[in-house]
Amino acid sequence: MSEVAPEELIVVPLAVAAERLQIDPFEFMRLLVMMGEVPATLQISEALIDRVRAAAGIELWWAEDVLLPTDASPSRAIVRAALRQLLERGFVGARATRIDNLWRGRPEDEALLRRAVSLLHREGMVGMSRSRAGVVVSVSPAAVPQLDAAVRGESMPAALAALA
Amino acid sequence: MDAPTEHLPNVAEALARAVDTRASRERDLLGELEALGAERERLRVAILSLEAQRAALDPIEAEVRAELTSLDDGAHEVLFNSLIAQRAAVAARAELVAEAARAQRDAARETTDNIDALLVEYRQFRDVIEPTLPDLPATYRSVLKAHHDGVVSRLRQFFSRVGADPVPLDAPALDLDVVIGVDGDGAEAVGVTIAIPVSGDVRAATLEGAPELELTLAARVVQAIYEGLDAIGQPTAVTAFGDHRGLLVVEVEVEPTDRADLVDQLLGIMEDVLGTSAELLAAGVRVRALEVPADHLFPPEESSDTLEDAS
Repeated sequence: MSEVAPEELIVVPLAVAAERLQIDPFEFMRLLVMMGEVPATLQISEALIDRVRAAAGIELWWAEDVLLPTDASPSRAIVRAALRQLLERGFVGARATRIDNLWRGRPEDEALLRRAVSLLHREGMVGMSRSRAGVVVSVSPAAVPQLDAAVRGESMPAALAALA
Repeated sequence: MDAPTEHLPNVAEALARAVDTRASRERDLLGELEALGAERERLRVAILSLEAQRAALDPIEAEVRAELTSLDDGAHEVLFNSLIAQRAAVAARAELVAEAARAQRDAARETTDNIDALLVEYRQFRDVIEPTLPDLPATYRSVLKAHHDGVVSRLRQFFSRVGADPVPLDAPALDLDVVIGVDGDGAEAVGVTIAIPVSGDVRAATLEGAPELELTLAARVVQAIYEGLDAIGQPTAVTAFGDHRGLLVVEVEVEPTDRADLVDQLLGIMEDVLGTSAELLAAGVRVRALEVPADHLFPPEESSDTLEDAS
């Protein structure tokens, strides 16, 4: 017993573990299966929560200090801030991130950001695919200058005009 | 004596008789014709009546055919009624399990004061203090470490008592069904529908304080689904969760595959996962996975229920 780290001993129910990562409990289960780490009981240790977070690339981008750019449209400001994070963190081409990282910490804007990603995906500016880590997105390399300009507020892709 | 007179045919009489005979025969024939005409008329009226009767059968036949086409053996209704009754039993069993776990936790708390405060202290040390330890004087460091080791020791004592192991329940076995329907022969994309005897909003309800057993049962089914998808080489298949008649329903869209293999994998893995789940065993819950015709899982008329994409 003594050699087991407290992180392995301290356990929380599945629903709480999923809430810690701000994901759905069934998505938590899916990730456990993909990792081959389904525990004997669904009391999840803190260490396992951390491993799931790392394996799936679950990140919290919307910390309190994230500033929204000045924009006449509040929706567009949020989309620009999300795109800025995507670009700044280098999620371009083959380097993709879970789509829900875009709105984790800002659940009230999930629908808006889902729609924005969908519109950009349709225009080929954002790549989207299913992987063992979940649905992942990245900026298409050819679209970096255009989205960078959008982030800076210099121009907005036509695909996002409807969001204004 | 007069000689006997031979009665010879009299032409005039013979002609008169012939005329009479003809007239008589003519009357007979005319009578027959009249009777035939009357019969013909009777038959015509009868035919009209029969045709009217036949025409009257058309809408009845159409009705019967329509009912035949949409003939429902009530399978959907009885299936979901059974699962709804099972769901109520699961909810009741979940209360018992939660009560037993609470009792165990309370007993452990009696010997470990203020476990919540210890947890807060443990996390504070790990997240805030530990990273700064190298910068502190050795004496401070050893005092803080010694205190932290004490906290860890008490936490270990507590969690070794409550641990992750479920509390065995002294209750009769509860037999449940998880129902799988596979739509398609595998040559094209296959729709797999799985109905589980737990509440459709089990995830939100559990976060709001509902006992965990329902979510555990659902999560174990979900585990089996993803293990099955992984086994057939489709780990990223699109999965959606929804609510039908208050029950949790999972739909999976599988790329063309060997249908029999898919069903075997799902049923086999489900039996394995559900049959060895420590929580279900401790709660006395026995779950059987069975395949039914896919249309048993869909209401006779299109449902307005919606499914939520898992991603």
